[in-house]
Amino acid sequence: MVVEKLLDIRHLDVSYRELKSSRFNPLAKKELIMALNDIDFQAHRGENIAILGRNGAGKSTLLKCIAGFLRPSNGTITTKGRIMLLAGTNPGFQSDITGRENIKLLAPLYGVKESEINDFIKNLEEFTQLGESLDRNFKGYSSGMKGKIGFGFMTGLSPDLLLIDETLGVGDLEFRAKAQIRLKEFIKRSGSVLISTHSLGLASEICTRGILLDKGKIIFQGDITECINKYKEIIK
Amino acid sequence: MEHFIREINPEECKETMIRNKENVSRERALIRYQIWSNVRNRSKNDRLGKIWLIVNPLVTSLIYVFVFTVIRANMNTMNLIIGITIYGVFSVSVRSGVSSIKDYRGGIYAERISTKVLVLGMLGNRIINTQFQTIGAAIVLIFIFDIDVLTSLSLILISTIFGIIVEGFMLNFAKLIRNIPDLNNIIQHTIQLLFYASPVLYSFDQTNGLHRLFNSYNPIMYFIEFHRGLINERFAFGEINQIILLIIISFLIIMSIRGYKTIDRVRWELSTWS
Repeated sequence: MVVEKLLDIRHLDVSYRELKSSRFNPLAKKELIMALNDIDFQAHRGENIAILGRNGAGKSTLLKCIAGFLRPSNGTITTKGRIMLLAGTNPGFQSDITGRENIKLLAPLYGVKESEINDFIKNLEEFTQLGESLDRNFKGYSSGMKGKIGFGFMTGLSPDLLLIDETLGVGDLEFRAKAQIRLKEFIKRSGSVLISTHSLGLASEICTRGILLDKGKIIFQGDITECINKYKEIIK
Repeated sequence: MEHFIREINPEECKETMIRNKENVSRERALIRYQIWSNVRNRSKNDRLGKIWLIVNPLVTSLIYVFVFTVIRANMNTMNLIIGITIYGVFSVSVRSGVSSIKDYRGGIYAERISTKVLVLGMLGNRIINTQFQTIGAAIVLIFIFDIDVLTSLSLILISTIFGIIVEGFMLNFAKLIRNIPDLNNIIQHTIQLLFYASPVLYSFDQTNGLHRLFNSYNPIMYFIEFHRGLINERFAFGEINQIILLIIISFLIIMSIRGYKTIDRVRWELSTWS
């Protein structure tokens, strides 16, 4: 059976432009900072890939670029289907309305059909167990509560490719365990996940493949266990 | 799933979406959301909410009317209200055009929304905001100055067209201003200067010499005097060469269309500017 290719990255470079002003040059000098260098990989439907690397290795930049938020300076990315990026825990919630109103407002914008919204909210209520707090103003929520709703909301949707950037650290221990179960359910239900994480346990549990980034370059890609071992070597 | 394919390269982020019922209704919901969230964010902390969006420009106009008619006692109040209202639309549209570049996510943080949605949302915002800005003045014209409803409401239409053109025109400079933020101060001073240099507080008829020459090339004058002309049945710019008028308006419209069209490229280019 031919497995469908969801993501195809070829020779991807990404550089940020920074302005640096000094006492002698107040108009600022342009400087290019290379964040990703010659990235090449593909992802197929059903594949879950962990992106590992130290802070500043380029993991977040890679995910943002795949999501279409950043312009590459070289190379191409071709994606099929809908792609969502869960970075932080806010898909666009408004602070001055309740959690429930936020969900109702944003769900259709992320493609939930009108007829499915009530089920979507019910499912989210069960997952977050926020009870009556769901009807409180969003700005009064703790960061843990915001994280629960954000994570629950995103994993309740059905993108073809979900990009997750270090957001499983939200909430208490009980929630993290539930979040892992929900993520696994999500993975079973739909396309693929690319997850940037420092949690090696999670990476080995849900991913089959790993990509190790260092200073913007892929230094290893392949079996997840091997990738984790390589990562451990570079952080020694 | 084939209904959505994206190709990302340094030149563009090209999205191919089949226009089925589901996709079209989602796109419309996103445009409505852009407009709704903009209006809401401007009034969310006030108890009276959106009412302030109409009351504020009206009160500003009335304060100017008080200052320039009661105190100086030699002004045409109706002309003042029209001038101040259209000028208000001008200054807000200028600021909106140059600052629109700050948020290209449209309040949706987890998924890229298309530039088409952003542009339509921006146009929708300009139309709604201009209506809030001008409806109070139109009501004053109807009930206090006894101007017929159609002529009074044309103030909203003229201001809306003007607002869209000005915003689009300023979008051409948005990238430059992001590059050199100091230009914001110059724009601020220019807006202030234009308030006094344009026929906002007086009629174009009352200008002469260099001042008149400047205003014959000043688009604000044409929009203000056009609405005054609808009421007074005499257009103050009637003596000006119609070709100049045509050139100025055509130039503005072409630049404005160019401005809206550059959003996609600028949005893409600026995504890696820090």
